[in-house]
Amino acid sequence: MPSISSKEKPMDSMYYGDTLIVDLEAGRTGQVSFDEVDEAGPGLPAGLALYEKYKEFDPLIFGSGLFTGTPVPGACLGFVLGKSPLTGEPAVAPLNLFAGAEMKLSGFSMVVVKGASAKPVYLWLHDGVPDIEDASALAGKDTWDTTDGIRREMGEGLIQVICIGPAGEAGSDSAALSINYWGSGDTAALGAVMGRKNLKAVALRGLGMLDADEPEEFYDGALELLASAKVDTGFKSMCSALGAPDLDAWLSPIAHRRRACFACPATCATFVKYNEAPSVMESTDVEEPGMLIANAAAALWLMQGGWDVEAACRAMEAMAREGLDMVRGARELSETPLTDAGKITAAVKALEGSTAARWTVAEPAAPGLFGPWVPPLGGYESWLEANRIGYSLGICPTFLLLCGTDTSRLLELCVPAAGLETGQDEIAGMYG
Amino acid sequence: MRVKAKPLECTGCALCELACGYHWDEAFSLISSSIMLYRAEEKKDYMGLIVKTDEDLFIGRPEGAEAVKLGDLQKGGKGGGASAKPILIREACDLCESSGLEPQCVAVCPHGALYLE
Amino acid sequence: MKGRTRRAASHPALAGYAAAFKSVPSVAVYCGAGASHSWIWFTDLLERLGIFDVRFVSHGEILHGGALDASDFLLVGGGDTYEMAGSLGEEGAAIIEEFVRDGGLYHGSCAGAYLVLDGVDLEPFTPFRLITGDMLNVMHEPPPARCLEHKYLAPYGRDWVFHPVYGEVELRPGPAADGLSVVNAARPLGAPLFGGPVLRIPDPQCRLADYAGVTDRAAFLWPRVDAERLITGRQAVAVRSLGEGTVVASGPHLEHPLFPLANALLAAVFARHHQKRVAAGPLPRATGETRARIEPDRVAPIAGYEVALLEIKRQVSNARIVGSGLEKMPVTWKIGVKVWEPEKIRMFLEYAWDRLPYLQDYAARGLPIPIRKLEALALGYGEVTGLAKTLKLAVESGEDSQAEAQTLLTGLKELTASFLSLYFRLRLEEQWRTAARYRGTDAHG
Repeated sequence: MPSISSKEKPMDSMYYGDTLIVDLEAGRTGQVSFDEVDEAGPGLPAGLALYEKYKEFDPLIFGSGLFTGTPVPGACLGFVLGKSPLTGEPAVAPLNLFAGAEMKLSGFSMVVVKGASAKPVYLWLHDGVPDIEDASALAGKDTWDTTDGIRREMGEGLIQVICIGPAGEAGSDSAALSINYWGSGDTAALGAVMGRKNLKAVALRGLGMLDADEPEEFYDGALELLASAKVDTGFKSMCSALGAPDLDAWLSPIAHRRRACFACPATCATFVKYNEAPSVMESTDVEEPGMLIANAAAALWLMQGGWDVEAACRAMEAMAREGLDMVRGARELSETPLTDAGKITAAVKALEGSTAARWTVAEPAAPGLFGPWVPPLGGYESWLEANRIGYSLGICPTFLLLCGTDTSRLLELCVPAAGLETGQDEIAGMYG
Repeated sequence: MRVKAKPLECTGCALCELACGYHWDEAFSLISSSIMLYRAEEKKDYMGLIVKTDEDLFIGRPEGAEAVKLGDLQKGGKGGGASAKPILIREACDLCESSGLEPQCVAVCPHGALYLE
Repeated sequence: MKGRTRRAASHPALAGYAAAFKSVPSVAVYCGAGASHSWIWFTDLLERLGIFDVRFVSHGEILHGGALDASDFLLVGGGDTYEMAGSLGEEGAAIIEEFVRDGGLYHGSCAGAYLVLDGVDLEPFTPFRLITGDMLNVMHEPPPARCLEHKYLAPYGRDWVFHPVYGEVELRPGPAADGLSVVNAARPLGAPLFGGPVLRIPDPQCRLADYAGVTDRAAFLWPRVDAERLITGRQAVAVRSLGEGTVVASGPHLEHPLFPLANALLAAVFARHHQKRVAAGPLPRATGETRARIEPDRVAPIAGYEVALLEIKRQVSNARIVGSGLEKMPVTWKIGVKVWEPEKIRMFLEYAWDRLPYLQDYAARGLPIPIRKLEALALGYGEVTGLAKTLKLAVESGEDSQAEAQTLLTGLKELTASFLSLYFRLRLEEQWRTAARYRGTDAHG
């Protein structure tokens, strides 16, 4: 499954062989040895090194962290890295839920997408096979129809689809990439970058296995961290730590079930139902009963703007479908609460996205590599460290901040994982 | 004694699948465990758990859980069937006895969605 | 390799058998009519023994293609015994018997064992009488099954063949195992019983292994104590000499890749037979060294092979992904008397998937592969992907998917045999090349 060429290199046990280079202009792919992981560090540092290497091609880098896809708690994280149209600087968007894990399992250590395609395409990355597929039939479709379309075409409902909606296709600065149906933490308009490249989606699925160098020691360490994680279900502890009102209580009339990202004991997402009763547990004929509320920042804006909970969730669904930055969109919508579904849809389509993305409880930080997807908990230095470690190791930074993770113990796991000795200072150094 | 599920406590994190797959293969994947998350109806948020044993399947659907004998034919997409014998892909649950450990899926589940009975 | 198979493959019990097969036997694995999926397990066994002169043969190739003329071993696994016997017929039975009498080894597991028992006195089995023995798991009115009803019974005239236990059983060596180093009378070895016979073998010298008991890793279609009482002490594996050859009939699947001790027992029997034959003089059948070397169908640059191999990988991957989605769907299909589960689709695909890197590496070294064969495989796996998607849609919409499943599974079985035939051919070429380098000669000199 991996390329034979790079299997003897360090850290290959937790990554599959090579870096995939996708030239959308030429309609071709190639593979190169994943040297950056040894030269720059795992995860995002490697991605940044690749970004620098291919900078002239306005690249989008898709990747994952060292532990992504393993049972280390919170090991769900992948990323998309590119030059944000909003700042002109590199910025990262998280791939969480199951997308990060599937990014790791897709069979490529990193994916560099350069250039632009003349016609709409999507990447189908599966078990080390890179396919550039025609996306003409998906052009103009919202993210929900796009996800359904690709899953139907490839015959598998577990394919993870990183896609854009009409906003991304139009190159709007408000565009965000979406993970399947649910939007994402993209506040850097990387969805617009995908749109400019005519890259409608990146579809991921892999049936492989990840090996640790010392599997027993690694597994035991992961379980130790899991046992010590202080976890509350729902948004309660996050809201409490932020000094924000209780999102759980606001969502409760339409809350169906709590959901977690891959390998994460926390439950930072709630599925709400408003097209059927939230108490309905069986699979009915209602194909689209509601929405996964995974973007707490966006939800807080609407809640604190006085929106009715159902209307607010419909608005978030509309933004997710369009492929819009839900935080900026919610901030804008918060000023004018609506209840009529038609007016909500129209208001979403009319969003200007002129304001900066931030949480209701914090002033906007200077835009940088890491956007405000991770809540501003514990002070800037803690927040920055959580992002750096999180994106390197593939651990959700919100989990690191919220659940009392012993960071030193986490970093020690790099040794049985991949023979990598590292520490907080070393990780910080990887970011320059 | 067998592994059972309280489906509504499950949050879909797949830690149980990872732990079980590790028990069988000493590697991390979602393709070789005896316990499986059924999550193919994502838009409906319809999600359940299936535990395969030698003789039956424990199917933990959100609307209720039951043990279903292997080979009982069902048509329609309401949860899973699985092969009757280990054919290199999914082994029947052995409560992690072959590793000499307590059942790992129960141990790792952060929300008590799995238990022994 | 996955952890379980990796551990089994490196079990010390299997060490040393490669030397026994230095003069490589030519092996035919039956995958024709009636063969289900367990024939594929012989792949792992033969790889572990370093035997790469392997062909996957249909009933037609046995009847009309002279498949056994060039073979030293014929291995027949599980499936639908009626279909096997009916398709091979009297002529096939005669060919197999002549093959054995002339010095060949016949090994039958499960259906392949039922096939050759002379006590199975029912058409179309009567022409197949290679081993004196009977099956004990026959009743006129078997009690209801506790579980696995769909696996419990097979018709046998006015009676029923029944299966009291499905899964791992324990075996103890019998008198015919004397002298086999793998055998430890003090310690039973495990092997999986998936519908194979509980034997009655009158001649003690033909009893290779008996059932010593059951294990927790099994489904009990009868209450456990009754199942245990039925099988314990009965014969599980029989072996006999017939003419110049050997017949082995086994209830359990000794070839199953997760049971290395069972593999070793089978390997020991194969080795004993083969060494005796080699000592008796040149094998009457064509040996590996006289098979023609591979010539490419046309000269193709390495890039041509890479494109074809990538297409195979692409389609096997696509099909695997669809197959994995089917596994959790509550559906099975009945083809003949056998029940097929969705998991078997991916099982066939995994065998190709795990061996594709070898083909890619082979091509990357500039070694010749018949490009037309690769192209045919690529086309075949593309069709499999399409069929799998159609099947999944049918299952998801609650339609009857029997016809689609039958087409897919039949085609996939043949395609897998074709893939593995190529794979083994390349491994054999490599084996010759290595041996020639060692001898300091050309690969065929």
